[in-house]
Amino acid sequence: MTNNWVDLDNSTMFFVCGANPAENHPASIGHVNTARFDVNGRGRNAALVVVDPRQTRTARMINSGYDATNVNDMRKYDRFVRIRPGTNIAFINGVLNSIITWMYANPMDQKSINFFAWHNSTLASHRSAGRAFIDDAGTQITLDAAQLAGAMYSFDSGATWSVAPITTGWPKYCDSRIKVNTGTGDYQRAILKTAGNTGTTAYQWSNMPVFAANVNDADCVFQKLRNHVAKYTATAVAEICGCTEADIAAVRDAFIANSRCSTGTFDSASENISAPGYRAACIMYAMGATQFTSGSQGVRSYAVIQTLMGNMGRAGGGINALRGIHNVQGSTDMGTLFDLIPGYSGNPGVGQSYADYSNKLFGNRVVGTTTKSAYTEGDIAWQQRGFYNMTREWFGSRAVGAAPVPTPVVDESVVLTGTTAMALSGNPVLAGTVTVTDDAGSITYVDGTDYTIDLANGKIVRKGTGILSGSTVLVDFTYKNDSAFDKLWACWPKGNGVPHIESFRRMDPTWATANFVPNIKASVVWGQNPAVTEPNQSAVRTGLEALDLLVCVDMFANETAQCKRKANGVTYLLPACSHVEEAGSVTSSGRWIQWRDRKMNGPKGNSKSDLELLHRFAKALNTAGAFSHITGQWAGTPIAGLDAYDVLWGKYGWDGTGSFEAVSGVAYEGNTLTGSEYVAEQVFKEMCAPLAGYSTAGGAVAGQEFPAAAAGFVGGHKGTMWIYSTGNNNNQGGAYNPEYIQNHTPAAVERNAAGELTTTAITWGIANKAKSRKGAPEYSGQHYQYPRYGWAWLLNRRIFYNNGELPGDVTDVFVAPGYLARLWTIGSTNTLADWSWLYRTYNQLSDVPDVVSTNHVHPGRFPAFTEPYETPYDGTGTKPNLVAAWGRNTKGTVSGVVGTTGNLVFSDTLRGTAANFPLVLTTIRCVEHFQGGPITRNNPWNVELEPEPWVEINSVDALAKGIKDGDYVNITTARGDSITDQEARTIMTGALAAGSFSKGFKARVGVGTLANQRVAPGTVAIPWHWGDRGLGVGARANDLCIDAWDANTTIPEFKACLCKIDKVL
Amino acid sequence: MSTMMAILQDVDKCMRCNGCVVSCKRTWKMKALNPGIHKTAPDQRVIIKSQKRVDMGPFMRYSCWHCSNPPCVKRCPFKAIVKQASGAVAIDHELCQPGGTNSAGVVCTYQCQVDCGRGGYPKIGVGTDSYSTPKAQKCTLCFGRSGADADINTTLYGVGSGLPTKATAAEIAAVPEKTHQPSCVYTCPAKAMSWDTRVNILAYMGTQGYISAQGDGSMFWASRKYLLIAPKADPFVEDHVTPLMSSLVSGPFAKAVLVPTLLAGGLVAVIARRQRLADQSVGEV
Repeated sequence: MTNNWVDLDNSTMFFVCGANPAENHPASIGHVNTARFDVNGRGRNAALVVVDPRQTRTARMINSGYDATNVNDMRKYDRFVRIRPGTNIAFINGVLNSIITWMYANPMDQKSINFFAWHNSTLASHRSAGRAFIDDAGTQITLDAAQLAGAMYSFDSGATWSVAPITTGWPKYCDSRIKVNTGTGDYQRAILKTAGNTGTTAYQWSNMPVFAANVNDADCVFQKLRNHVAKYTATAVAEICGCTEADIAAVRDAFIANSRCSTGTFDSASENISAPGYRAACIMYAMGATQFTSGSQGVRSYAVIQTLMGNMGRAGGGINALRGIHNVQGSTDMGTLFDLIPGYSGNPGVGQSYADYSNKLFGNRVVGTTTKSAYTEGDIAWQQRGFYNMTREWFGSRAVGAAPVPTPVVDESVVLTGTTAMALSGNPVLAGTVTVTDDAGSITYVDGTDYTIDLANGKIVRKGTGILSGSTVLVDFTYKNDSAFDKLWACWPKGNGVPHIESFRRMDPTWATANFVPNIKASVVWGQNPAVTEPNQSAVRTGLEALDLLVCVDMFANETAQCKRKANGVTYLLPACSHVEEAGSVTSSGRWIQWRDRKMNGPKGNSKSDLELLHRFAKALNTAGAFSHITGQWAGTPIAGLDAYDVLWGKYGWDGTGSFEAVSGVAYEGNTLTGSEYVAEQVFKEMCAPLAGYSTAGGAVAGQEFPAAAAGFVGGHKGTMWIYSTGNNNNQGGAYNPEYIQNHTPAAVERNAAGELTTTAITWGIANKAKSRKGAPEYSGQHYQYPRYGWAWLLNRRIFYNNGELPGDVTDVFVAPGYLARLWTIGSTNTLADWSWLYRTYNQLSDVPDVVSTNHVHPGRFPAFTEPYETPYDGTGTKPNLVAAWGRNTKGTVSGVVGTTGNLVFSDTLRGTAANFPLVLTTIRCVEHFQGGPITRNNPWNVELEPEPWVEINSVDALAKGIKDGDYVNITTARGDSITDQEARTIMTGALAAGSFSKGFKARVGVGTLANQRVAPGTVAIPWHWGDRGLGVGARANDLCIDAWDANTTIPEFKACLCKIDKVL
Repeated sequence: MSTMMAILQDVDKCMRCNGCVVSCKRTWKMKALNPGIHKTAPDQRVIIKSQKRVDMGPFMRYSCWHCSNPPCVKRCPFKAIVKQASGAVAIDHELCQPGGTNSAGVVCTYQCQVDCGRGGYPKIGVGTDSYSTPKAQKCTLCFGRSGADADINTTLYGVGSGLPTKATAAEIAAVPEKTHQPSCVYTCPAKAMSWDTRVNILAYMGTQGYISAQGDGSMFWASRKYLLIAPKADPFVEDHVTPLMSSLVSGPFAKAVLVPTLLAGGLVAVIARRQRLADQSVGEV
């Protein structure tokens, strides 16, 4: 989410496309209702527009009446639009085309005037103040104030010069006026000279884009987009999506009426969010947008429309990904995916040097410059610094690679005579700049002539007779920590892991051999149930069956723990406790980190918290010598010879012996914490401390000083999780910062108990910000963002990309050239990373249509519609051949782009055609069950409410197959069906042996006038929560789903494949 | 708690997440008696029902209506049912003896169920952990655990501790009974339910543009839409998957016989429809 759940209160339009919050995110509906029924008394009501293949319960919430006399009652725009699964992009592009056409067709309309005025704006409040550039030689140029004032730019290779864009500015929040360099696909970059420079040699290319005077310039992004979406005429889109042209026009009107161009305070520098005339549309999406082979492009299409309409960075606007479970945001923050490490950093590459890796992270340029070193803490910033700290904490300690301030060392005891070496105390690794001064009179000797540096042993060796024999020497040296740090860098696994879906194939030795990849022989399945949740179960279970060792960590003996295994395969089920029995942080979709307290006295019975299990794993692996590759790197460092467990895990509080739950300590707030409460707090401190560590001088407020040596802080902490952290101790405050428990940004304006705005600042009063629970109305803040409830990365921003119009929140800058860099600067130095390569490439995702067609004007640059991998429009059935016209999404052709992972579908995945499988199968969720179901299908209340899986079929399709309401339906795809136990893998014993698992799906068709029209003819929807274990059992949807995936994200296409249905007799 | 309280469910805000249902069961330690079978019996006090029978909404709350003149009270041979000053129609489980005979020789024939006629009738059975013998179970407005004096009632009635509230300090200052909310109101993530004095609820209903409503006691639903389809007579026979008629035809009828509430429900269906057609005050509040 760029915004937040609570921010939905501020919205005036909810565009729900690819989500069903009423059933899957019920808590959001409280906020939706607040906006729609004007609970806050603002005189306006929000519209609800739902685009979905299925008439969800969210869709049924539309049309609850509106006040025709109130121009601010947006509920008149309520609409449900039914589209075919997998056609989101076509629909959005159709709306974009319709919007742009409307804007040009109605030039006298105030909304059109505002729309173009905003895109063409040169207002001071809209412009950049960037002053740092990187030229093509890699040199970073930061202009001082005088240079900035006199800087000149040329957008035409030096023919003419102007002071633009510094003085005229450009929209911060939209790159619509950036001119495109047609040949390379790059943007056109300005060249720059400063006041003192004359002649062409002083010209330097910058990463500053060239901006058109207005969006009518044929080379600018806006016109490129216009050309691209021009193919998506209402007629074409209606045919693709199965909607009407009126649907597209209605959604267009809704967007135009609820965006920046229609807001009442359009011209104001500061928006009045409480005003009745305020307008902001937000997009809510979930798996219905992402689980396609074109999922990444689909989400990009949301970014395009929200950026075009100026809805980013505004209260009530934004693009809101409704996460699948409560801590998905946290899990991605923590880098649990195969291609990420914590903090959204990519994996270190095979053969990559640390400096090169660091250079790719947000922070400062460290390659191609002599002024910054990736090894010097003061030179690196933000993401780089977090990675640096993380490497030291994860593979060693802060004692390794430390870079203290250069300190003269007077060593009276050692006299350099002859070739005697002088050992230096501590752990210095000497850099080239060593000054040796003797008693005779501060003679500076020369490295290599008078002495040499023994880097390996940290010694100075006298050479010849240059240094006066018998003198005591004062050595003034600087540490150089490259080699020590590189030892820890070497501990990182290099390269990406295996994509989730592919890992099951690799468990199958036959498949692994045939595909020349290593065979996975052991797997730890932690809190997951892939034997229900992953598509193409036949392949998944083949893999699980072939494993030598399968370790499941779960509350219940779920389908995975009880799956069929080979004769000599070993399966363990480790008893994890529930989430309410362990403490730790949970990060919501809105990026709010919230501490979860546990119940008293720890886990029940023999179950254990995840933290304890991890520690015990570490201890056991350590005992077995599994960390020798790490300890082997410690030779020559201060931690040489130490035990890996003690260094890397013991610091969190449990020494590896005795009861984990008996570990105890006192928190900064004075509370005694035990077991997982304490250990989780210690981990949290390490993650969330300021990147530069705490100061030692004490805190900002008398009486609340924070001595570095306070309990639990011996040696201080330096933040390893840069997004949860902050630059330094007294600045903004990371998620854990005892030195900053006072008020901080956003500050100043709060609400009193009566709900009135007041300037009385509300302090945190707590070091662990995730535990902050100031959620009462008086703490709601100026814009109902609840700035003291939990903590939101980055820097407690509640709304990402806030453009400065929201005085109650941290001002942000939009991700555009010239701004992204400024976002990732540290302190007040405005130093700049070379991120521009990223901007220039990340709009070329690694997927383009496999059909070269005039329909695709700028494929890859802008989202382009492609058919799902299995589609009824493939030409083999009764439908037109849209694959020939629009193509499917295939493996990317752009080399070197992050995220390119290979094939979209496995060669052994059976693929259906419309001729054999005429219906589209899509998967859904229900409110009563959770994911793969171990928790809810073992809860009698939930099972009672929703005991078995069903299928939603349009009554037309049901009639054709003679299916009545309540009949069981067998669904067949190219990969399996719903009444056959594939290869006898599901051995049902005991009370549930009656075979209810393989009964098929119970039809919800309806009767007579109550016939089910939730899905359109030709579409079938099934929930996927069920499996063969637990109190409630039923057919598995993922026996049927295809494992074709998105090339960028490896998310499978759960939401669209082909099937046929038959009544179970 | 002498002020007459009431619950209002805003149908337009409800999306049937069943949070109220599960919250009720947890609060009152109700069992799930019928896992895997689509009918709910004595373990069900509140249910959210779709008017359209294919789970499409609008969704209405069904539970005891806490009538202002409750018919179930009148023929109880044990005088176990009382309309309280707080608005709640409460059943004293110490007095309730389903199927029993009172000192005057009057036999309990589940008169309360038959007389209800509005779909909120008590369910008879061992629905909770509190009693090992069957009792009449139904919504009590979280009697003893909601309102201003819930903590005092804890000691008085032994029903459990006071329930939490989401009301603000200002709201509680105005209406002390909001100190403890009924668990369904507290849970509702859609903020579709409100708990207030009956006077305030009625006044609020007048400001929201509702054109449909039901209830005359301390339980209401209301909607801004015209809801013309009569509420089902027996909402507690859970059939949101399968329409009632269809299940009778296609499902094993014998199974239905085993559940006395279903039979009672059929009778109630006739009565309810008759009463509803006659009683045009429904909807006017």
